[in-house]
Amino acid sequence: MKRIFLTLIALSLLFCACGRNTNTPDITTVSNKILNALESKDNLTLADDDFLENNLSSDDFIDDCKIYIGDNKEIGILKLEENASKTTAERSLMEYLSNEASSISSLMTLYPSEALTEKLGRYQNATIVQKGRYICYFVLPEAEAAKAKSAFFEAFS
Amino acid sequence: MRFNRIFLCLLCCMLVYNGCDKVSAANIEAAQEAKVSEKEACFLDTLTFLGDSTTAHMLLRAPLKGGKESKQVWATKSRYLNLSSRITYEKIICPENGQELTIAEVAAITRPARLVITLGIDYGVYYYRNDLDTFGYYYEKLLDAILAASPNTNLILQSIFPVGKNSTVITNAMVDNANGVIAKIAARRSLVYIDAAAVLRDAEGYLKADYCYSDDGIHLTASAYEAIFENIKNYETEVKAKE
Repeated sequence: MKRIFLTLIALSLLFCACGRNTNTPDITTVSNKILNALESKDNLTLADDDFLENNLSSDDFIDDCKIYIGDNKEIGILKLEENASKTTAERSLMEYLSNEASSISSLMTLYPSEALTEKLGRYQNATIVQKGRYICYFVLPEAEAAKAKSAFFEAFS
Repeated sequence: MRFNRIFLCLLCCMLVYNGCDKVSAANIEAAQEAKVSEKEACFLDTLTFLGDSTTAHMLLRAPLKGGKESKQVWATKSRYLNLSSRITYEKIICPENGQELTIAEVAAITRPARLVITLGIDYGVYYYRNDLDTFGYYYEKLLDAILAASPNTNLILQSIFPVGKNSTVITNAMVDNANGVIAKIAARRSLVYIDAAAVLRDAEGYLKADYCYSDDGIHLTASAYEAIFENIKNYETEVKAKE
């Protein structure tokens, strides 16, 4: 009886360890996974720290960040601080995307065009995903956003 | 009688030589004018222009050598260029190869001797109207990026052009404030600052009606660009002194 009990305890501890996923990929792995899934990756430029500081107000909750900017496209990969609030991070991100959409909207009053209309739509409908300590946003055409999203989750497997 | 003939001959000779001098003087003057015109034309030909839509439209309406095919104008495909946090990521069409590249990348390839920058009307003047420090910050970020790519380029900062009465969003007060920032940047960096406002504004401070091409009060006619180019010629000595 004792042996059965101890065996059961050992087995349950083993399964608990198996169930806990401690895999937190580094940001380069995540970003490469996403970029490699996209056909347009060569047209994307990595933004500098100045861009991040002036657009994301990221001091409080971002551990590391990569933002890629292209022609009417943008990808942001944010690795949050260990104990950062995901809700705060998401809210900050949505505010940033909303501000960008407002800027585009203002520009459209001067230069109405299909390109700007498309760009506005992408910012308004940006895809935001979260897993672990990461939160990402994709300002991409729908098909590419879907690929980027899949690639993001694959980075954790 | 003989002396009279001699005297008359001498007088005729004198008159002829005077005439020749006048003709020579006229020829020399014409030649000098031609050289001046050629010199002025050559100076404008040495300039490259970077800016927002008011610069992009030079390809359509400015007296550029090469007209629409001119390689002197750097512009985006969409013809507008925003002075914003993204300015160093914006892509323009490289005149050398037709590719869309960042401004710094184009500078690295083309190494312009003299680059006239007229930037801000499409976005920065309005968006940063209450934050001129940030306007100046991104303006200088662009200058730094260009110089990092092409250190010998003589940067020339031109004032943002005034807007007409029809401009509902952007005001000349906003334009003046932004130009104040640009002028200070030029002074601090010992760059030439070209003030285009004096030749473009009417008595009330608006873009002259004749110079206004579009209903938005922002874009310029061909005659406006002629006036701008004539104004730029006045800065030739100052520009060359920086080299």
